[in-house]
Amino acid sequence: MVDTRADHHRLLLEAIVQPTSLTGYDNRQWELLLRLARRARLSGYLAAKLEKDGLLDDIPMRAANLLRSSLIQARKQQQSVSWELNRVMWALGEHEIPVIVLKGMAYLLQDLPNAPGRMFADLDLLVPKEDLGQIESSLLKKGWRHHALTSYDEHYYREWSHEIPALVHPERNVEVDVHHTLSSPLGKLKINPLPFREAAVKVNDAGVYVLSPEDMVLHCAVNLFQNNELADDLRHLLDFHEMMLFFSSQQPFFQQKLIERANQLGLGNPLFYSLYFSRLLLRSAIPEDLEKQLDRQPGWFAQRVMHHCVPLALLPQHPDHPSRMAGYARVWLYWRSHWLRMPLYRLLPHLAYKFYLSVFPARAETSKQK
Amino acid sequence: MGFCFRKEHLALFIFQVVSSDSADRMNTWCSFRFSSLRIENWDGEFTVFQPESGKTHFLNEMGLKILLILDQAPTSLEALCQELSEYFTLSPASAFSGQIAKTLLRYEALGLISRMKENA
Amino acid sequence: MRVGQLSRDTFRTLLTGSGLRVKAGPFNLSIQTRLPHLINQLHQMYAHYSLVNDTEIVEFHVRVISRRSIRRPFARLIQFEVDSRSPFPPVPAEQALATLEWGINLAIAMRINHLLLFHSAAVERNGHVLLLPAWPGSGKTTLCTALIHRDYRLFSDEFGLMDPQSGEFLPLPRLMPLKNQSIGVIRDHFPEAILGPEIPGTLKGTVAHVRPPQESSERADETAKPRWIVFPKWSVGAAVRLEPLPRSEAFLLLASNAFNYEVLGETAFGAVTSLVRNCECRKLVYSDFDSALKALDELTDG
Repeated sequence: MVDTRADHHRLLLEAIVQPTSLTGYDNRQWELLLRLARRARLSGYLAAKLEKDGLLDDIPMRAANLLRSSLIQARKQQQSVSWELNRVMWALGEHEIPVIVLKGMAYLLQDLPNAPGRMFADLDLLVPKEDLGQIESSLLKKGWRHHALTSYDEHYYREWSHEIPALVHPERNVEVDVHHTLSSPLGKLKINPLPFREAAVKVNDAGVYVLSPEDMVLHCAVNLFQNNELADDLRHLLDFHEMMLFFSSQQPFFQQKLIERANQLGLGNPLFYSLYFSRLLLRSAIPEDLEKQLDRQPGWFAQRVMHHCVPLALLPQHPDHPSRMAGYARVWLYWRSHWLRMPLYRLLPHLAYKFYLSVFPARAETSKQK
Repeated sequence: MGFCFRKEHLALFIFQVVSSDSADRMNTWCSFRFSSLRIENWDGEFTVFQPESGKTHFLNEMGLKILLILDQAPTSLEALCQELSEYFTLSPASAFSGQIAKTLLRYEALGLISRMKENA
Repeated sequence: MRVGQLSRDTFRTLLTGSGLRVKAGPFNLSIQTRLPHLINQLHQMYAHYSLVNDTEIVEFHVRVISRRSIRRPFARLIQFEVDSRSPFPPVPAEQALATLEWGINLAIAMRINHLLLFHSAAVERNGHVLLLPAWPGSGKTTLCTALIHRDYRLFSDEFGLMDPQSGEFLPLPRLMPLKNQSIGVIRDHFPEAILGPEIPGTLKGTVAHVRPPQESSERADETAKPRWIVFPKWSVGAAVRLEPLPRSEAFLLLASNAFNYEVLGETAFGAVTSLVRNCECRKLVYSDFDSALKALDELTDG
């Protein structure tokens, strides 16, 4: 494997994969690393790792102060979202609707190794489609409000995307996203939420569930290579990497079950890329060619293009010397993510409108007020 | 920036109604994790830090007394009003029970107390 | 070494090249720009700032750069950037100094949580800190400017930086932005104050910056414990009044005043509790500087 990545990429990846090496960094390296980690939203993660190993006092004071600051913020965010979940379950109390918690909050509930110091600000929930109305009205009754949206955005959300507009309680300002599927219903990859719900794991008696380990890993993969634009998304690949390591150590045949589940649900493509890039960038202990066992795999040409583009997008740009190649790669991946999520006849007008708004931001404001 | 706090908390009662439920007489109430609260006394006014939510609350003497009573044992609205009237030597106005009921709903929304429904 | 000791050319080379690296209290800044008028203004206004060498870590990398607009192709616009992110929209080039200073404030407020940040002026007298929290109508920057041209050492006009463990305040002496009428008032009363250019048309009206006194920059590492908290209120024609403030109210006002009170959770609750218990809390109503200064002198002499 030829390592052609830029120096600043190596600096960040080395820090993530081997945090103990940080005690050997000089001030110049620290100065750049702090900026990259912040861009990648990994400052809290690094801080938590160093704190766990008792190393925060062994690094330069300025670095320790900034990392501690990020860790304090991450912990506060985690507490806010935890409390939000508590309040949501209270508000839904008498209806006994099973609620599956997704993403960051789920990692926290399960005490996974990627949870400490992880930054997340939203509460993402998966619920049965038929319960959406009841949930929305219960929360509205108990004080939540819809995020202020233009009528365009609201239409986009309700009809084209897979969410009701986010709900926020004005006293706490934590965004609650209630989903009924895991991907856009209009997109190329149809994901039936039912198998995920059926396999969900109970967390406590309050009706809170999380996805099963295989499904959690698959959902992470789907978000990375299906839903997101990948820009600066290294931390989600890190989630994938940490979960693979953790679940593999907990269950002897986890990787096999993961492959079978991906095949069963038709999610080979995103899992392929996740395994490939996790091994490539984060040196995950994943057997070579594990992904070859997937029924659905991206074609040879797609793989080559992604091999070149994805690292340029996932890894943060150098803050002073952004690369033009990375810029192009990110634009290409932005288009790709939208193409995967929306059919072309909807995509073009949508992107044109978003471009218009970027030139005339005042129009967004006035249409919100209407 | 700062924390969400209303100056009305300095007044005698907390009036904000959160939902259209009523705290009807079938419910008993108890404090939730009262021992985890950090309470500071400022000449009869109290700042209260609630670790679960990370929020800081501002209570007067009666507001805190409610939490104390509900921490000792599950109490109904009626019994609570009775105990408060005795403690503060008030002759209860007809609106007193309504005001305490609103306070309980507010506390419930803040996660300071929880309701335990009695089975009929 | 201080900025004022650099030649104009060397100074320009740093700003247009890899960055001018200076100390700002407990933080180090790197500043880059190619705008000639901003370079000149900074050479004067940052004269007392200490330079930081390349082997030290800089926490904030900021730039002010030119911008083109599709809608207004002939306007001369500039924009503030921190680590290549632009938190503010582009503004006319004349506002460069103002947007730079506000941008640095924002960057500090967003990133720093190992210290409690009060939205407050802080000055030192007789070895202790007097905290002047901001609230509507406080005129804290104007009052702070007056104080530091008398007997008080500037800590900051914007941030009360407190270590929550030790309770000590840390200086962060930087340019102080005066607004609208206060510019004229300070010029009249304190002719020794060094003011930067008057910048009209900003979001806050006309702004002019006051240069921090040399002593405050030189003693920027000397921390101090707080002893007085005074909530100032400028009221036209009012006779000066320095009244006690109930501690419960002081707590409420300070907690809502601190930028990161909620973020620091229980640490902040404990720190603000100690702060309020250990300080004398007052409310100051004033309409002229001389009587306000006299009242504060009496308070801080005690």
